[in-house]
Amino acid sequence: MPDTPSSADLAEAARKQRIAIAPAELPAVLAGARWLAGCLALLRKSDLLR
Amino acid sequence: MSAADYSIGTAGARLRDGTLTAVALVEAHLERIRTRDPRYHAFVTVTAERALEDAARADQELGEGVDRGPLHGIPIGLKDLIDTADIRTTSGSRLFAAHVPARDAAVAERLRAAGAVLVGKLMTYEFALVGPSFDLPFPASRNPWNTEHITGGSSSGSAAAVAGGLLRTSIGTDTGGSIRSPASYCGVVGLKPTYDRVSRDGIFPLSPSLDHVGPISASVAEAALTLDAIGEGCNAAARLAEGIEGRRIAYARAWFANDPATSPAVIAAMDGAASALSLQGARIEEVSLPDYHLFEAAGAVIIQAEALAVHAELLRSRGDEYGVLARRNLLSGLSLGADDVALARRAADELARRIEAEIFGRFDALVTVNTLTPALPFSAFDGETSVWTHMRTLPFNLTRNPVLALPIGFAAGLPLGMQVVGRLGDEAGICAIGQAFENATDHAVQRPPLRSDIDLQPA
Repeated sequence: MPDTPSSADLAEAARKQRIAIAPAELPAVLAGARWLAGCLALLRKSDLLR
Repeated sequence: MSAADYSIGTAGARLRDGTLTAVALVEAHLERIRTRDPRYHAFVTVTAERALEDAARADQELGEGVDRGPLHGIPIGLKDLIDTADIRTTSGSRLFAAHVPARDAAVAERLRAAGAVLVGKLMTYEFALVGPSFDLPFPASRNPWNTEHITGGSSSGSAAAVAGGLLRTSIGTDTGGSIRSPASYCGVVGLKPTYDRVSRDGIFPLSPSLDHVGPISASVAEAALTLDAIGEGCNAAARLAEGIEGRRIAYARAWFANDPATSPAVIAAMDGAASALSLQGARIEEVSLPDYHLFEAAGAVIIQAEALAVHAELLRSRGDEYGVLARRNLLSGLSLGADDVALARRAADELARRIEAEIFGRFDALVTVNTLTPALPFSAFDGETSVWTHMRTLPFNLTRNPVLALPIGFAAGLPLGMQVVGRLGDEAGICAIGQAFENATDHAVQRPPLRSDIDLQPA
């Protein structure tokens, strides 16, 4: 998954897991996914694991 | 005074000197549930008939000299994620609305062996994920201090039941703060033990590497007695009177005081609490901790990845039966890969190592805030969008240290809370600190306002 996931990325991840995502819920799910991407970016840029 | 207001210690003494029966005690609690729970929505299921049978058995055993310990004959409730044989266990979800387990969870078994009397199952956010939700078969619990405000979660019914005087003690679970934040919002005591101190067997998992099980109770002593019954080798109640003279306590003040989300009343209450501990003889020293947001980032990734793994099959087969909030929350984890989770775990391990070395290498305990504000009103939630409630609880799920959540005062009539974090395995130490704090303050004896038209009717 790229640093900023798109709707297409999320739909592909769902397809691989055989889980359906309705178009109406995609914006909210995408917001959550982008927040998690922000979490990962924070961990990568910190000096915690250097 | 109703028997429902007796502490576990007082009720236990009366059960043994013959001035109270377990049946009468259970009846008093059932009456409280009948009159007050229509406003609090703490209970999903009330097991009145079985509770009265179990209470009669407790009376018979105590009369015959069979004493199972401090919880013998004491009413208790379990978060509805915890399996109970032949009693519906919903996990707060439409998916499990009619689910009746065949066997008890380990914690329910231990409580039964200790003679505790189960009076019912308590509301949880759906699968302990997120809330409050308004599209579930069960109404969201309401805060007894002001029913227009949330209880926090996910152990929402466990906290509401104790704060509202329906129970003196209950059991919750805590993956990122789900015992401690509702305890804070509802002005009661929560105790998240060391990881795996209490068995998770038979409890629907949220994030197995971070899930903890523990009590929410009306006082530190009652939390300690409950933990002793459900945990392995705690012995917390026996050490409550140790005192805290000379104890070295770190105070992580900047961790919350520098956050613009923190209510000024919370900062003042925390400073007052630290001062109260100092007056009891503890040596308080302000410390810096690693950036809170690093803990939050690592914890969120681990929780979302593990929760999706737990729910993947149900999402495939019955995905449309979830509530909106829980479903959207789970699906966000689809964005995570194995490398992401590995990174989060390495970060969590390093953060835990730093806390162990930098704090518990020098101090007996750490105090810091619980939630950064009082409980939000229901009007802040629409049931479709996740609303962030600011707290400082998740780090200690990653580090696995025991934490005692204590009430420390009020803002606009709503409770505020503190966390006392102990060394791994030192539940007794933090309970002793909590007892000293409780003795020196009057926070633990505060009770929510009652409505005269409902609460003051004769029993």
